Amino acid sequence: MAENKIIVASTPFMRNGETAHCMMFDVALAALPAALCSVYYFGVRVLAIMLAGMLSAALTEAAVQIVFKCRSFDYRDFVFSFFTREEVTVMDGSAAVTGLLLAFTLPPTVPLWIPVVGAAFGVVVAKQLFGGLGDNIFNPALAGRAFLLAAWPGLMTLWQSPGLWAAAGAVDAVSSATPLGTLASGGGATSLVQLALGNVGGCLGETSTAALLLGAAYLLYKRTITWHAPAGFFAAMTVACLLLGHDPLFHLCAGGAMLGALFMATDPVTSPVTPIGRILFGCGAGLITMVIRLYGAYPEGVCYAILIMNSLSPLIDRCTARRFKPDQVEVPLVDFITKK
Amino acid sequence: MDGLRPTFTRRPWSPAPHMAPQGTAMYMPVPEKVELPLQDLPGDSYEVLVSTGDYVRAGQKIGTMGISPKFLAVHTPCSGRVSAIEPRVHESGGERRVLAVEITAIADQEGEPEIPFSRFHGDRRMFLREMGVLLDFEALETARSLVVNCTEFEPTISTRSAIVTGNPDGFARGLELLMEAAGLPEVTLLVHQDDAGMQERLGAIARSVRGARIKALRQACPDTLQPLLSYRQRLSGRPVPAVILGPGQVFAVYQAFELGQPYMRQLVSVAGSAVPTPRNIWVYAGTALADILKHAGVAFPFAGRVALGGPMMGGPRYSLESGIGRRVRGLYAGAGIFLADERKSRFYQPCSCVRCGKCAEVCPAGITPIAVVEQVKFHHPDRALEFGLLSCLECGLCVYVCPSQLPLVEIIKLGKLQTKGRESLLVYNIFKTMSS
Repeated sequence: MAENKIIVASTPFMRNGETAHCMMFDVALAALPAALCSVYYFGVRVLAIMLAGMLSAALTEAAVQIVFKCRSFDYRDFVFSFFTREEVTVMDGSAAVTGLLLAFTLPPTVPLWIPVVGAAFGVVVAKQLFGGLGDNIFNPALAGRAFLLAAWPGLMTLWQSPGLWAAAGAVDAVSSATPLGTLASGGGATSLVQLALGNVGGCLGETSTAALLLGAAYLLYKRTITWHAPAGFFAAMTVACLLLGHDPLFHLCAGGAMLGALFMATDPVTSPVTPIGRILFGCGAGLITMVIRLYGAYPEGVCYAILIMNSLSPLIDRCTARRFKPDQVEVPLVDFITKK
Repeated sequence: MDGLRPTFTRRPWSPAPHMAPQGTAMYMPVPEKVELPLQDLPGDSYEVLVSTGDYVRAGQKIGTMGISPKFLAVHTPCSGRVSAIEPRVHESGGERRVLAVEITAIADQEGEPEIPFSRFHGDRRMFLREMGVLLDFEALETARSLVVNCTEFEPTISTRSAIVTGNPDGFARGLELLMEAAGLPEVTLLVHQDDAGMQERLGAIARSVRGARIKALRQACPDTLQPLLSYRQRLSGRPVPAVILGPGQVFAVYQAFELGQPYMRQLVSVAGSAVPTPRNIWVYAGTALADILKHAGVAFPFAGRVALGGPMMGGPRYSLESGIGRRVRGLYAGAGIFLADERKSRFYQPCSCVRCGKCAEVCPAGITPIAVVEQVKFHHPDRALEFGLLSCLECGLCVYVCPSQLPLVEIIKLGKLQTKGRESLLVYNIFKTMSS
C-alpha cells in the first residue's frame, strides 16, 4: 500500500477567493460606465487613448518584471515562463487599470503617444522602482499625469467640446474650456444637470458624475473600496466651499473631484489602512484641492492634492492606529457578555 | 468553496458552513487499539494505575493526568489488554513525546461500571475530575459567569448543533448540573443570529432551565476566547470573568452525573474536500485518526492536509497514527477533522500587502493585523505589542479575506514566540488540571 502523503501547513486553509486580480477586475468594471460616457461625448478616438494607456502600462510592467525581477525567466520558452513565473504578475491587471485611470485624466485631444509615455512613467517610476504592486507610495496613474502636466502643459490643457461626433479623430484644437477653467477666468458656473450627465468639457473620464457614482456604488457593493476616503473628501470640500462662499455642489461635480475621490483616493495601496486614517486622508485631499482650485495657478488640483496626501499616508497610519499597553490583552465579547 | 481560484462574485467576510456534516451522528465501532495520553505537554506529572499486559474493562480508570488534587482521571473507553506504556508523539507534532497508554481492544462495553456521585460526599468538582470531564476547574473557582458557546466558528464543524439537537434534554440537564457545580445562578448561551433553527432549539431549552438566557451574536465566536482569558490572567493578574464552554463539555457533565459514565467518547465532525460525505461520528477516546478517517469513507492513500479542529483554527497533523485526545491544542475537542486534498493554484502566491484594510475590518479582536505583522516582520517586537499582538485570537479570518494571500496568522504566532516565548494560543494549556 502506498503511503499517505500528508502536507503539513499552518491553518487557515480556507480563502474567500479574493485576489488582486478580483480587485483590479472590479475597478475596471466600475470604470466602464465612465468610459462609455466619454466615448458618447468625445467620440471613438478616446477608446484609442484608453487602449494606448492600458497597453503601454501592461507592456512596460511586463518588460520590467521579465528583465529586472524574474531571474529564472526562460526566453526560449517565453509563453510558458510568462504564465508560470511568480515574479511576472502583470496578468493581475493592476497595470492595465493604471493605464485606464491615467487615460481618464487626460484631455480628449491628446496625441496617442501622451498616454503611452505617461503610463510607462507611472508604471516604471512610480510603481516598479518602489517595488511593484503594494509597495508604491504614489498612485501610479496620478504620478503619470503629474509628469505629463509638467512636461507638456500645452498638450495637457487643450480641451474639446463634448457631443462632437463629427470631430472624432480630428486633433484640431477645438478650444473649449472646462467648467473650472471658465470659473477661474471669471465666467459663470456651468449648470449642475450638464455636470451630472457629463456634457461638459474636461478630461476623458471625469466629466460624467452620474457614471462615476454608478461605478463607485458597484465598488462599494463588492467591498473593493470603503466609503471613508470619499466621504472625507466630499465633506472637506463642502465645508471649505461653504466657508469661502462657493457653491459646494458645483465644486463636487466639476473637474476631477468625483474621479479623484471615488477612484484615486480609494486606491488601497496608497491610502491609509485605518478607517479614521482614510477619513483624514480624504479630508486632507479635499482641502488641498479647494486651496489649489481657489488660490492656485491651476484651475484643478485633485491630482496634486491626492499625491501630497499619498506621501502622508504612512504617517497617518502610524498616528491613527489603535495602541495597546505592552501587557494589555483585550478580550472581545467577554466584558460585553458578563455585563449585566 | 475553499477559494482555489479567484471568484468575481461578492466575497463573504466569513466562511459559510457549507461543508459541515448534516443529519444525525453515527457511532463508530470499537477500534483495534486506542492510545490514551497521560500527559498534556512533556514534563507534566502523571500517575499510571495499570501495567503492561493487564486486562482492563471499559470505563476503568487507568491513570491520571496530573496528581491529586489537581488531576484529571483517564478512563479506557473499551475493554482490552494494555499493550504498551511508553512515550508517544504529542498530538501537536514535532519533537514532543508524551507518555501514553496503548490498549489493544478486545470487546466493547463489557459491563461498563457506573461511578455513583454519592461516593464523593457532594464534591461536584472532584467528581467531575474523577470522571475525566475536561473543564477549566481553576477558572470555575473565581468566574462570575458561565457562557456556553453554541455558535459554530469553523465552517466544517457542526458538533455543537448536533449535540444540542441530538439530545436537548440531556443538554438542558447538563446546564443545570453545571450551574450547580460552578455555584453560579446564571448561564449565557451564545447563538448566531442567522441560525434560526438553533435559536429555536436553544430558546426551548432556555425556557426550561432556570437562569439560562440566550445571547444572539452577529458573528460566530472563536473558541480561543477562553485561552485568551487565561492568558490575560497570567499576564496581568486579572481574574477570569467568565468560563466559556462548548456544548460537548455540558453534555459530558450530564453523562457523568446522570448516567454515571466517565469521559469515553466524543463527537467529531469529519469534513473537508477529500471526505466523500461529511459526517458527525461519536468516536472512542484515543482512536487513531487513520481509523476515524477510514470509517468516514476516505479513500486511502491520499495526498492532502489534515487539521484537527477545522480549517480555520485547527492544528495541522503530520501523522495519522496517534489517537484523538480530549483536547485539541488547548481547545476542548468538540471539534473536527478537516482533510483537504492538495490542489495548487498559481493565483495563490503571496504578494506585497495591497493595504486594503480588510483584515482590520473582519478582525473580531479589533486589531489591525497587518500593522502587527509589519512590525514583527521588521523585528520590532515592542511596537508589535503596541499594536495589539497579544490580543489576537488567531481565528484566521484575516487570512480568509486577504487578497494578497499573506500568512498573517503564522507571522503573528511567530511574533508571540519572539516577544513572550509563547508559540500560540492553541498550544496554551488553559485547562489547569495538571499540577505542573
